Amino acid sequence: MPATVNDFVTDGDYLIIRAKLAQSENNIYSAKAWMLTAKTLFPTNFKIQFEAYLMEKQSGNVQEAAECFSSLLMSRQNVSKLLPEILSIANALKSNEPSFLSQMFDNICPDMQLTILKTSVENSDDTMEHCRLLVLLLKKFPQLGVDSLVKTLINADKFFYDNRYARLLVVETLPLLSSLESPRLLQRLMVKAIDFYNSYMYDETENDITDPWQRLYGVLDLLGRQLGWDTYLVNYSNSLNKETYFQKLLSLRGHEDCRELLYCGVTFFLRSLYEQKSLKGNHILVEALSDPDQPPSKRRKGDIEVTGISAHQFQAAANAYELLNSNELIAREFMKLVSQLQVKPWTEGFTDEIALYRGRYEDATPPATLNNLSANIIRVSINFAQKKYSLCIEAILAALPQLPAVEGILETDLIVGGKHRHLHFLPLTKVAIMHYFCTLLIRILLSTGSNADLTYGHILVLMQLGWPQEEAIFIQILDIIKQKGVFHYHLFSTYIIHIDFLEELSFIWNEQGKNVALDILPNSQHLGQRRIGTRGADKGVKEDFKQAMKAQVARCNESILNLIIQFITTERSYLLQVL
Amino acid sequence: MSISDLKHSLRKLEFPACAKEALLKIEQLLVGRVAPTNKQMDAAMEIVSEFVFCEADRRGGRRGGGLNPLQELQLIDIICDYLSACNNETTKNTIFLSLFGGMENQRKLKILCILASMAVSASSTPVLLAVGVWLQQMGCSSPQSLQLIESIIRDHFYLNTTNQVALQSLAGTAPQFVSNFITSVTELYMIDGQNPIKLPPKNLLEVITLWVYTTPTLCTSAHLNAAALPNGAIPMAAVTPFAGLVRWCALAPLYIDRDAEMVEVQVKKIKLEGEKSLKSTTKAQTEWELYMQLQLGVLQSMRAWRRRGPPAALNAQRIAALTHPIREYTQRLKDRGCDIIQDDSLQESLDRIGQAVQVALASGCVYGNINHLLAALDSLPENRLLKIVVKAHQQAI
Repeated sequence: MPATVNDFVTDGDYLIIRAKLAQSENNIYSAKAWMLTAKTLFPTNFKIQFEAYLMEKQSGNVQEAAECFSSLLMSRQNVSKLLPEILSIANALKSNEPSFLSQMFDNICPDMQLTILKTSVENSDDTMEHCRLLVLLLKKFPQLGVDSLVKTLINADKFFYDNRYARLLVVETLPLLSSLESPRLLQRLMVKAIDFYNSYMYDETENDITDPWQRLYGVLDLLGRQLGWDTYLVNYSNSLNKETYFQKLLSLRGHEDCRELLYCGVTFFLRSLYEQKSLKGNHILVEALSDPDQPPSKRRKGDIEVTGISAHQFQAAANAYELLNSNELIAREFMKLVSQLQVKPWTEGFTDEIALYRGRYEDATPPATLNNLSANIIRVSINFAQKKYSLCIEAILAALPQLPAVEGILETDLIVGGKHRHLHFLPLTKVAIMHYFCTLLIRILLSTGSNADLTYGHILVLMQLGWPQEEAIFIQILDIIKQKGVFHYHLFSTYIIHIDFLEELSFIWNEQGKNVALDILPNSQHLGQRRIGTRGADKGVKEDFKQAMKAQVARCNESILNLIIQFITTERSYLLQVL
Repeated sequence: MSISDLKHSLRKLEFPACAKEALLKIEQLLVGRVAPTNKQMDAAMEIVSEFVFCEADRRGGRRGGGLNPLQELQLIDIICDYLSACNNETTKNTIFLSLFGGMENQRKLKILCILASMAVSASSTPVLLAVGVWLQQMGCSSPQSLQLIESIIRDHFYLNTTNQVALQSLAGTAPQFVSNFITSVTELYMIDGQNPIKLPPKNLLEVITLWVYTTPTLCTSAHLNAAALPNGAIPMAAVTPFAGLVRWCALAPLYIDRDAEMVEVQVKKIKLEGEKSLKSTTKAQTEWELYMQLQLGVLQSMRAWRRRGPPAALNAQRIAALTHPIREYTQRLKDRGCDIIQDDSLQESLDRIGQAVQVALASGCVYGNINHLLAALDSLPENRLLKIVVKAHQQAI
């Protein structure tokens, strides 16, 4: 190394130049030897010590860099000069990604870590930044106490319209709290937490918190411990058994201090509602049927049975909702609390569902101006329940042109055993809706008490779709035909194509052909005069019947669904006629 | 049991059974709560001579022949087994020193050389630690120690060079041995007056560099961990390898061409049957780079010494002695009419001396006459770092 070049620099700078020169020549051992020499020669020279640190940092030596940085921090007067580096470290810590600086931080002794974090907190101007750093600090050093942070957050101006604050407070800070001296403050936090997680659940852009409900129960637990609540109710896993949990909630009714019921109840309500909404998707709640001749289901509890997707969650939410409105005191507190929530998921659909659930049909009926498929189905459902059959059929006719393209499958739960009220979450698919309509229409036709062949014929047409749901009625009708000895239905060849039906009728005709007159051939000009199968008098007629049946059987692959839509649409006057 | 009874019972056994039994008898004689009497020590020596090495007859007279090579191996095996099974450091060192302590005897030394070499191969920690203590008690630069070290180097760095990975781990398992080993090794190479100058083989340099660089406490481990010696024994102070390593690093630039791999001084290299040539996957470091790394390792080891005790790790005299080869080199430069300031090798050498002296002084490693050392440095050719160092410490004194 030519000495002349460096004659004018100070001794300290000379050593740094030598170290950097070696480093630039990729000679890291030599560079470090120079740096070590320089450090021992000038132990209090900030520039040298900092260069030594930078060199270790550039070489990616976590442990060595941590040592250099620690020795720099030992001296208080260095702290201001180290500020940019301290803020970089704090920045690195805020990210969850491991980085050199965050690893280095982990290699620094706790005292120094505290100095770094405190310094970064003291030197952040932005409130948000300040709070974030404070959270970092408190996570590392919980013994410092979180109260001040909580107050800073709550009192921040932006707190109530900037969700980032709420998030920082609820998600990051609350779990650090072990107690808080003020229950009032804690209740404000509780409301904030409920609001935050409730909004979070419905915010489709955010999904990084994996266990929001569990976290909310964590806050409940905190408040509950302070106010001496039943530990059962603030335990997340207990809330998974909705029945038992609700019974516990129910036992709180009438307590003078309604806070336990309020906060636990609201949390339970919002969660059940969220679950119901996320399950429900394209289903709507309708009145369904019960049949006293069938065995009652074992699942039912209470006097109303709800079936279908999300029924369980719906009932939990509905029960909680009603409990929270069960008396004036709790209803007032509930209103007060929910008025502070930004997202009110129950306003859409749920209150209408509750009205239907409780049989308050006026509240549940959609406004007259609304004429979409769902509104029409609900009208069908309510008019049926109110036995307004003409209106019911009109609503069905209004819904037919609106049917969705999605086919779907038959519903199994439209009729349950028992005498109680039954509601069902009906999927909005073509088959399910038509199945529901047919089921209702059959009941309407039966309810007329008419024993006209036309009525029975219509019923036979309608029961083809849900077959064998109405098998019992089918057998009844066959018996009646056998008794009467005659069945006359001119729409038979147009609408009855189900192979089971054709078989049964052929069987009757073959077995009891001598006694039963089936007047069901198309183009039959002389109704009531030309009876098929009358005592074998006309062999040609017998042949005609066989041919007609063959023709029907050939159609058995046709879509019964479309056939029935056609039937209801085309034969509306016949349908309305039997009422 | 009287001593004569003891000997009598041993005489009933053939070699090697008598050697095995003899070790236990010696242990009985020498190890106890109180120091053994002179009589007991003499008896132990007689037993060693007659029953272990079989070099004396029952009257103490010389016995011709001694052990044949096969018996030597049997004996080494017995000693190894004994040392490995011994779970008391003091007992082990006592027996070991009584076996190999007085070292005028080339035969015994030869057996010790084989024993030590085998212990290195097998990474046998108990034996190596005992050898380490022996080196220290004999003095690392004593002729016997150097003979032992040369034998180990021959076996492991010239004859068999496939053992490098196992060698590297010794710094962790037997640091006191390794430390004394390095101290002795530095006495073999780059010594004043060697003509031509002898340089360590590259693989030895590699292993030593790796040891020192990765284990900063290694150089001072023998010094800081006192050997467990028999009652009444005089402990010899361990000499750290610092002085020797500083000399190597400082003088290396004068003997090694930075841009070319040095041609190794081949002692003799026997190609073993079936030996595979090791191909390293990483780019091999040049010797120049190795000394650079070793220099940093030495500096870091000195830092690790900090505040560990009174300065006793590096003798000022030994560093001051570096002025002699430097002056010789300078003189040769002058004879050739070269500019001293422009000679990169000389400046590199002076830089390294400056670094080592500075870090050693700052870390409290140096003992002896520091003023004399500074004066010696001042007399060296001009170098900015040396000036800075001398200035800094003259102020301090």
